[in-house]
Amino acid sequence: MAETKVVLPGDIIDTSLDSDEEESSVLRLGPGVAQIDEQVSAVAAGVLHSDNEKKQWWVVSNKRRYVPAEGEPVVGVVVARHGEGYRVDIGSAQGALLPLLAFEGATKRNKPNLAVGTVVYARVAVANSVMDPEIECYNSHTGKSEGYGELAGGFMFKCSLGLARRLIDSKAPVLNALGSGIPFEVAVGLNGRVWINTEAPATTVLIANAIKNSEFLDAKQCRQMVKELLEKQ
Amino acid sequence: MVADKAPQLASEEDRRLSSKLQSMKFMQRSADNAKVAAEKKLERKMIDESHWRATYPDDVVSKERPKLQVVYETSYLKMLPGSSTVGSDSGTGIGGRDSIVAGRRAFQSFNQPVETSNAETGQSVQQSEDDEESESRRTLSARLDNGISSAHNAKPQSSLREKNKQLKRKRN
Repeated sequence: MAETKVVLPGDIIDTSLDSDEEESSVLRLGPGVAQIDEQVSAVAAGVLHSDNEKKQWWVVSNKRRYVPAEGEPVVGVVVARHGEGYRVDIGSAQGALLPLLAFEGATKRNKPNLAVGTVVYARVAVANSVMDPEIECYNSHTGKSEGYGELAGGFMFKCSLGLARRLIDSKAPVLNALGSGIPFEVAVGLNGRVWINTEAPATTVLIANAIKNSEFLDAKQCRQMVKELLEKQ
Repeated sequence: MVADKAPQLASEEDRRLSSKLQSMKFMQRSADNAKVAAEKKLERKMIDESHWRATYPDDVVSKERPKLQVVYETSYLKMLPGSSTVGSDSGTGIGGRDSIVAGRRAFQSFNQPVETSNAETGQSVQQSEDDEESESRRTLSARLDNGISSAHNAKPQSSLREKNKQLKRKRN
């Protein structure tokens, strides 16, 4: 029961519950799993996961191509400015739209003015396969900025989606280890982009290398690597 | 014959009339009209008879509910990890039981102004999660208030005061 199950696209997943056969409850299928012809199959290659009651199924896979999903924080770069908003590159197939009023406390008279090339931290508001994705620099459900907005200065680099998911966790070992030695700030986007800001370029390079190298290290190795990097500094 | 009642055709009575009368043009015209009308009527009757309606037997549309009812969720953030039976490591879902999703963070007071507002949102999130009190939660709340060093109990009054600006997100 404790073995990891690696699935390939096309593998059929047995979602039947052992206890009750009659109850046809709703299954929640996460990323990487789809229903094909009365059966649940894996669509992505990776490790299969489910929750306790076996109602939720998803596949954890690692890719570099981002498909926007609603509610995810992303780091984007402004590429164009339209009348009604900005066109932001978040790594998706279509550029995302950022409305001019999608900022905390923005009114018609009080609008932010972002130049082309600005890095923004935003939340995906609308994402489906038929429309251009739309992002917002505040949480429209709560009305607060929650850390979204323009990211001034700093350095942005790309990483894989799996690493981004691990970094966004507040317990990410590499970030915590780096933070105990260097003052810096970081914004992690689930689209595989990370923005960091430090005082000196040398520390920026150090942190970027540390994060990139931590992809296949476990917690202890991360801490060891960071310790060695900080000592060499 | 001036008063010619053309609609009221007398095709049966034609036989009683003389052949010379029947060969006259107005008689021919009415006979043709009668023939065309009769053909049209026959055609309409044939078309109506050729139409059919599908008759379904009662059990073709299944009364059973479909066996599989599926709802799709496109984001990894919404996948609550729990303790998955498939896969032994617990760090599968983002923002699991013991950790929260922190998209934007700052260490060692690099970015202070947003920190206070984030600390407030962190406390409100903490209050909403108070019903599940556990050891990890207490350390987490200590960390949010005083920085990472206090959670690790390394140096309570450390000279390196960590100020985390965190992006709090409810797990749901």
